[in-house]
Amino acid sequence: MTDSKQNADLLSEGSASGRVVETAGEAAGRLSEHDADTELVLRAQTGEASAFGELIDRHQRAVYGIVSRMVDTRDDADDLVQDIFVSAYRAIGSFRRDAKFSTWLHTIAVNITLKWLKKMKRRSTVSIDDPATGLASMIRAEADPSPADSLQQRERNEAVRRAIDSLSDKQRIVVVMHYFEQYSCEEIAGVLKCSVGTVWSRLHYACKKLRGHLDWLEQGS
Amino acid sequence: MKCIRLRKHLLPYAEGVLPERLLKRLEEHLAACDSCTRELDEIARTVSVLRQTDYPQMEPAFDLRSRVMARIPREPVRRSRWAGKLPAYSAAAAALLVFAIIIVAVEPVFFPNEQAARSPELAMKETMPREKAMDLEARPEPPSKGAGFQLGAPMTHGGPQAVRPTATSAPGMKLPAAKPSERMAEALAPPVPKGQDFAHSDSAAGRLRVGEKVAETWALKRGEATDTVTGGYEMGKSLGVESLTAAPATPPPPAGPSLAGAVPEGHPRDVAQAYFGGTQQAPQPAAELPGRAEDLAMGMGNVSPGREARVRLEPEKAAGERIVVLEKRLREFPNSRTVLGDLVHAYREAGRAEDEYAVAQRLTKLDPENAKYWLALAQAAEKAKMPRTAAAAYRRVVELKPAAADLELANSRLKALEAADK
Repeated sequence: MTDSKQNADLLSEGSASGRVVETAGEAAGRLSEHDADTELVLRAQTGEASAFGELIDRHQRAVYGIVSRMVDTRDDADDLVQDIFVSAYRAIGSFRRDAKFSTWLHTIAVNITLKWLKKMKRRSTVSIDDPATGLASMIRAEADPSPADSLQQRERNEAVRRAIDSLSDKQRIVVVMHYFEQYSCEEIAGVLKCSVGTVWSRLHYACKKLRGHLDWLEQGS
Repeated sequence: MKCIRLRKHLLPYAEGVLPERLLKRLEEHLAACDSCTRELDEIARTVSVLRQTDYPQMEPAFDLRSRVMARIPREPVRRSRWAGKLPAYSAAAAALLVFAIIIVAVEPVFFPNEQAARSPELAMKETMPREKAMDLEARPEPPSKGAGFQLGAPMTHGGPQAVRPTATSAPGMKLPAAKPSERMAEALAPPVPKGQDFAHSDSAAGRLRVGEKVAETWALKRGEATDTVTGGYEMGKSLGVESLTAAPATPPPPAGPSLAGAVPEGHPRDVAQAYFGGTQQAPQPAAELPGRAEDLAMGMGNVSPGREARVRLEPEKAAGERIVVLEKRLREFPNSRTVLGDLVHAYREAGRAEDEYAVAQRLTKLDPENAKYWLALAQAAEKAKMPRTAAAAYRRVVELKPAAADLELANSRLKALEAADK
């Protein structure tokens, strides 16, 4: 069997045999969300700004989920998310309703974020603990402290975050979306406009690269 | 099967999403390959570490919606004219392109016929063998028409295509017979006037030919066949070709259409339109395009403006509004340090020092090692007229060794408070 055939098999059957099984209720909820989005998009396309405001409320968390893990500071994340929604509003007239609004919006989010990162070219692994930005404390701030959240666990989390920061932007975005935003590879492929095989490939190489950074964790544990 | 072909399936296998058929094949391979087994083990451990890692996201800004709404233009969203129609337009564009290519390709076929209709001599020349045609071309022109190329001459003498420039049309002069390959090349080449270099190289002269064709076509339709060349002449004149040619033997007729005014360049349709007095539509300025003016005004073409365009509410009004929102949010996330931090700022802006102090105190309890929280507490305590508490908080800031600016601030305030205490 050729590689391409195997890839095709992987693409066609991968989601079917996924370990995450969607229940009927979840599927219904997802569809109703899709319908609600569609209705809001229709209203926004007719110039109803409040409908777009509702779309912002519904999707801001997901957009922040991607953007905030890709940039160093809260200000940058805020600005980028604003830019993403403003760009989405400007382009909403061209949105074709046969696609999911969330996929379309996340494509804009990823493109704007990657473009911004390329422009800035200043990602550094130490900046996460930079006292001037205080991102590490900001990130920690969102997790409610609990007794189980030991110092060792926090150090471990920060080490993994630093390792993820060392990846290339394209690898990092798929790692963030897949492992921390729980996107399937098919969904990521839809957002990034690439093949599912490409997404798996990026994840594979990202894992190989992370392995070098995380060896000490394995030894420690 | 080779390892290299199967290794890309190790990650889907480790995540449990590999299709059944590949699963069996891979497991058979893994049973026999230590290298791939080790690789799988490492990948699985990395995935496990990633799955166990806590990487929380930032909370969305509480006023994101208002900020975005302040930036978006107050105009109805225009649905793209291309939305959903792109395939149809693409097909139409492709068909137009093919049509244009066909037109260009068959031009040598069409033009001789047109010329033949106008000039029996030319038609005869085109149908006769090349050597004979060359002899005919080498013949001197009738004296009344002059020796050179008569751009404005009526087409009754074969037109420009039938005439050679003076230098190559001496009486009795024979041109060398063309080789078969040259004949083929000439036959395939468009029927431009041979020997007239400007017609090949000068774009204005090229336009002259286009204008001539269009003018001819329309003139024939209007029954003005005798003036067909004049249009081309006028066109060439206005484009500066006149200087390359000899003076016309007959001046252009005063009556009839003229291109003496502004001549549209480029598309034959425009030439014909201007030639026959049609109105030419002025190009729409870029700033008048829908939505463009707003883009330009905001400096936002396709590029996002960044934080310069961030719109903030008025400080006094904003603080009050923010406090309401933040307090509500704090009830949902009582331990969110982001919300608490924003609340400190909001209370500070609103001048509510006691509240600011109380929230700063909560922050220091949540994260006692954070110098910024202690600094906020010290500043709030100072405003709340609690100098000793403030001094103690500043001391704590100094102990925690914050960034240089914070350290300097804490030291200076501490000195000032100690001096005041003494």
